[in-house]
Amino acid sequence: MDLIVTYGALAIFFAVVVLILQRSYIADRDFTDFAVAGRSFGGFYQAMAFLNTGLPGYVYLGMFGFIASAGVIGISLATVLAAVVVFLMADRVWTWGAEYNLRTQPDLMALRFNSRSVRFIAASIGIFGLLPWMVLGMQALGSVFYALSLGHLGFTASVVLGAIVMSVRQIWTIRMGMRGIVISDLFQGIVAYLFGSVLIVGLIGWLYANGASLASVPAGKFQFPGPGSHQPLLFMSLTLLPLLSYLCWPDLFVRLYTGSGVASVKRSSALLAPIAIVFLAGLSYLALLASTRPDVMAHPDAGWFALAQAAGGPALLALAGVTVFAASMGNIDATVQSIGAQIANDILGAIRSDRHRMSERSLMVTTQVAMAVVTIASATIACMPLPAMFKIGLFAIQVMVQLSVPLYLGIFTKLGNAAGAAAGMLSGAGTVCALQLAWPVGIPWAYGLTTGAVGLLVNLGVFLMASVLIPRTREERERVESLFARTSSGRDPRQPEAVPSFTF
Amino acid sequence: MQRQIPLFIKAWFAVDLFLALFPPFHWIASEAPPILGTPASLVYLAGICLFTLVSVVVAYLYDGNASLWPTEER
Repeated sequence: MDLIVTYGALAIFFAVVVLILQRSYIADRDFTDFAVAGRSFGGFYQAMAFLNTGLPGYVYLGMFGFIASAGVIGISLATVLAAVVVFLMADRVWTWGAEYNLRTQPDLMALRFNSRSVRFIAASIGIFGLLPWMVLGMQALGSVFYALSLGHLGFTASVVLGAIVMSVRQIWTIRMGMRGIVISDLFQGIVAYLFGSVLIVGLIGWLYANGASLASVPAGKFQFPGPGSHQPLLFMSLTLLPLLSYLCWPDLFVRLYTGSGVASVKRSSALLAPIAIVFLAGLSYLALLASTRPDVMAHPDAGWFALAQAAGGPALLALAGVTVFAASMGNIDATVQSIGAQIANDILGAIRSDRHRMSERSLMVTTQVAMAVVTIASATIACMPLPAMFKIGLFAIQVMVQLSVPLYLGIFTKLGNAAGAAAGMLSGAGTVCALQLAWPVGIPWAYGLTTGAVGLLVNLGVFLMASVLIPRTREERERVESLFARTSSGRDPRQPEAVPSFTF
Repeated sequence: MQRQIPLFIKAWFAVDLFLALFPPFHWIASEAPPILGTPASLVYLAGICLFTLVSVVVAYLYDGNASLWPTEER
């Protein structure tokens, strides 16, 4: 009976998502429709899409467990600070996107640096960064099925079940592209973060009613590593790197294009910040309070489920499982779509000559085929016992953050050239690979900085040196000037909202 | 019509990042005594979040309400 309650809740949630997608189906006219939903969504849709991609189910599992075990060092400010970056980028990225029909992150970098190599390298780094997290996302879903099985399923069987369910879900992602993702993100986001926040507040109240308090949490959990420790810069590194990498995630960046105008992207940042603060502050506080409980500390990564079950039995456990399911689903959908679009548009598209460009139709079909292949391959890998997968995921982030130098400097300044952008990314990624072998977590001689941070310094040095040493031609200077003039004039080519049916 | 982000908003955003990322603030927050019974590190993190939230909301309101803070249009 209990199993019917827990798995039944997941089944109902899944059915509602599918129903929403079926009812909102609109055939995509071209690759722009498929990849960026025709740039048609309002601020609230956008905010939920950012959240559902940037805060996967992992936050309820790994982040909760990290805070419960290590204390405030595990609290992430990156999502809140990222709202600032989204606001600052909105004007230029959206306007360039609409004017030049950009559909992926490498599209923008290729435009800014006028280079096919930059496109290819950026796409390769982006895909490399996304793939391990696709697998980890499926494995995280296994944790949900395992916790909700109440001991009836083994962990491996739960992972297999999670991978199968998520693969079935991708049928709608492949069919509907970005429009389907954003529409389902709205519902999934409401369940994962708004309803999730209500659940969190309820659990905090329950803990207080049962005698928990901050006073009983060990004082050491409220301290960051100090100047006398061997990693004094660790909290800065744990905040800065996720912040820099936030919009380097190609699946997150592309959300900037899906807005119906600059105003809707900016509105999304104003909505993103308060929702993220309420949700993340509540979850962090709950994890700290829960760290006094032996059942949570026995398996901190499953503490969210242990707490829900202790407070409300199978019914509350089911609701807790649904929130993690909802958060995971949005992230995996966006990852699959982003990998597929980049393989078609920026890898296969980039290696073809201009005379043999792929048509809109073939781009769309190639993306769908790539999405199907990636889904099946990731599901298969997820079912294998690969204990190093999380380390590979961390390594992938250190490599992916190397996109930030040409991306941010390319958007916010007129600095740089194609050679510097390409060489910078390659040298940064190479530095990470070399250092990661010796120091997989933090580099002692760099005061706890991660390999990605050191790679960024090399990357930035190469980018700036190339900018100084290689003079730009007059044509290139004029091209960049005219690119920036398009946004500094305040011209917004698609205002007001392009498709009024998704305007909130 | 979107307007250029004014200097005071850019400065506010820079302060957001500085307060969140400058390591001495982390160390001070760790060592400071509790504030109204709440550990200082939690007060620091909550303060950063609220300060950042207000900056983004003010930037958005400024951007969309020319009549409230009239400045030169781009």
